[in-house]
Amino acid sequence: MTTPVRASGESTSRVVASTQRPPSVLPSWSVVSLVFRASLTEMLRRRTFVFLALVCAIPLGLTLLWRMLAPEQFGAEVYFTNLVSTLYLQLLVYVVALAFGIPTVHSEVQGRTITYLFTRPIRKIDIFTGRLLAVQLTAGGLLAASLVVCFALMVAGNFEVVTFEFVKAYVNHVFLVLAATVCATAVCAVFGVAFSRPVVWGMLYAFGWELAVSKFPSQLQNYTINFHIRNLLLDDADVESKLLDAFRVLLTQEAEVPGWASAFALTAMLVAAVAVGGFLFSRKEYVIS
Amino acid sequence: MSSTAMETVLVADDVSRWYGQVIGVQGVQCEVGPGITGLLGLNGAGKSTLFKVLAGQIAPSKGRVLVFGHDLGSSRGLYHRIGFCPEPDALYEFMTGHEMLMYLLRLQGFSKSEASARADKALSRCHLTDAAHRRVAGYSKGMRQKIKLAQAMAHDPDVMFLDEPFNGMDPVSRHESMELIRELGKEGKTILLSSHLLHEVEAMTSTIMLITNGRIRAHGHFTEIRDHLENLENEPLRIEVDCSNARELAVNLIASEDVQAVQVEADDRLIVSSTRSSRFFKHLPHVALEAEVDIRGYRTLDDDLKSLFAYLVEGTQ
Repeated sequence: MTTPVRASGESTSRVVASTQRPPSVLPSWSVVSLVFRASLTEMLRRRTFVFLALVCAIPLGLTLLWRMLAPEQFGAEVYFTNLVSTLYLQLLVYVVALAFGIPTVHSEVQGRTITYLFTRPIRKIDIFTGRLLAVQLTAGGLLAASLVVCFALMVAGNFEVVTFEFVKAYVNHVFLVLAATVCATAVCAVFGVAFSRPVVWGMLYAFGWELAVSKFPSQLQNYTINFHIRNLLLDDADVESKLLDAFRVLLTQEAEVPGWASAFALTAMLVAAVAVGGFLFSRKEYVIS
Repeated sequence: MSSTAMETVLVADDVSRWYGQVIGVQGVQCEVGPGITGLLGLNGAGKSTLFKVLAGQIAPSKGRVLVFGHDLGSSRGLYHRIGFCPEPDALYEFMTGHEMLMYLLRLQGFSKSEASARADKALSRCHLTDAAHRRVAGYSKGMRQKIKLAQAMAHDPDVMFLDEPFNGMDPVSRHESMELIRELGKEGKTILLSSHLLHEVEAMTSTIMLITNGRIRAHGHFTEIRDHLENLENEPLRIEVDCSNARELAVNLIASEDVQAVQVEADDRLIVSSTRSSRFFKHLPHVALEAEVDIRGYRTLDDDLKSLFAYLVEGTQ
């Protein structure tokens, strides 16, 4: 049992790497699934979740006000389109993406529980993917729930607003809000992996790059999520209203990009964010003390 | 030497690690085999850094670490055979003890039923069965240490890294955990245990790795280390021997080259000073047999890790 006495610097002649193959790591799908489930449970028990649920209730209050004050002046379709394009896509999506996306792996690092995962026979990128999926589902779920309740408040006792055009616009908007959330959360997760102060960078990204640059009438806006989402929103939402026209002028956006290109750009951004985040997480060394 | 070579599980080959301008560990060369090895060092000695490097938590800036002949950094599959008990008090607070172990065992590749059975067994061995289905957030400090130990051993690894595993434990928990680690050592596991409390290590193993100023100062059985160090030549080890005839034994011992001085304290008790303690312990039964003296027992008066540690640290500063 006794190991020979060796002082520092003494040569060790028997240091030979084994030629046998080391044991393999676990399959990705299995790890992603396990990490996803555990992370989802964790997300739902966070205080942040409750706080953000309250934030996502703001549109419900506005919808109640709309029902009480101006259902005749602004039709359901116009109201809902404006609610989504202003409140959801300009604010809520980014607030939720920042709050959930940045801590994707940052919370495990800060909480120092990441060591337990790093000492398992699993790939680091699978940890990132599992956690990101849980974060995206939680963030998307909150906003989707908010949109569903909004819909319910709009149509409750007011079934005449439920036209084909409205339902079409509603489905389109919900889908785009979810797409924006999934993409923005993935980008925020990259900030959580890459930077030691991710909140600062995340805020700059969300409220600087996404919300300001996306409205500049230049090629730069093509590199924002918000531009492509609005592009798809405006293309699909066949709504004629003075209010929406005013918004178009205000935003100075000329949607010259076809819808399919925006869909492709969003998909590419999502894939790139996941790939970059996973790569950085795999390479980055966390000194937990 | 060849038998030791067969048993080598963990090898650090000229390992250095620095953080910017700060050197964590430097030129570490060591081999660890089955059994318990205590990694000892003062705060800031580089103990934690070395531990993290050896366990693959951080990569060495220079050199390499091999576990079962493989580089841990590039062979994550090796974690099937490795258990790690981290020092930070960090747990999945929202889970119960059983859920946490289940989760981590599933990540080791065990099926749900197998993971559950192993979790139960590990919790039982760590005396946590009663608290198994309570939230970890409500665990006491000692229980939190135990659950960390449980997750490190639950998948029956061959190598275990235990970083300060007794921190914050009450005496009973400490005793139970020490017993458990001793058992694991007897089962043939390779256990590297870091601690700054000498008596903890002393209670479990006589094989130590001592680190000061980022360098491994010594590694091996502490009596051998003591013999090995030249600067301790003039500081002999004192051994108190209880026997049937102290004077007769003293006459026979004084002729031995391992013995520097003998002091008869009473008719049945003497104190021997030796600079080659390991050889002395080997020869003592033969000398007693020749002198026809019964040895009832003996104890070292200063050969504990504390004194050794003091000698070593003083010698490097």
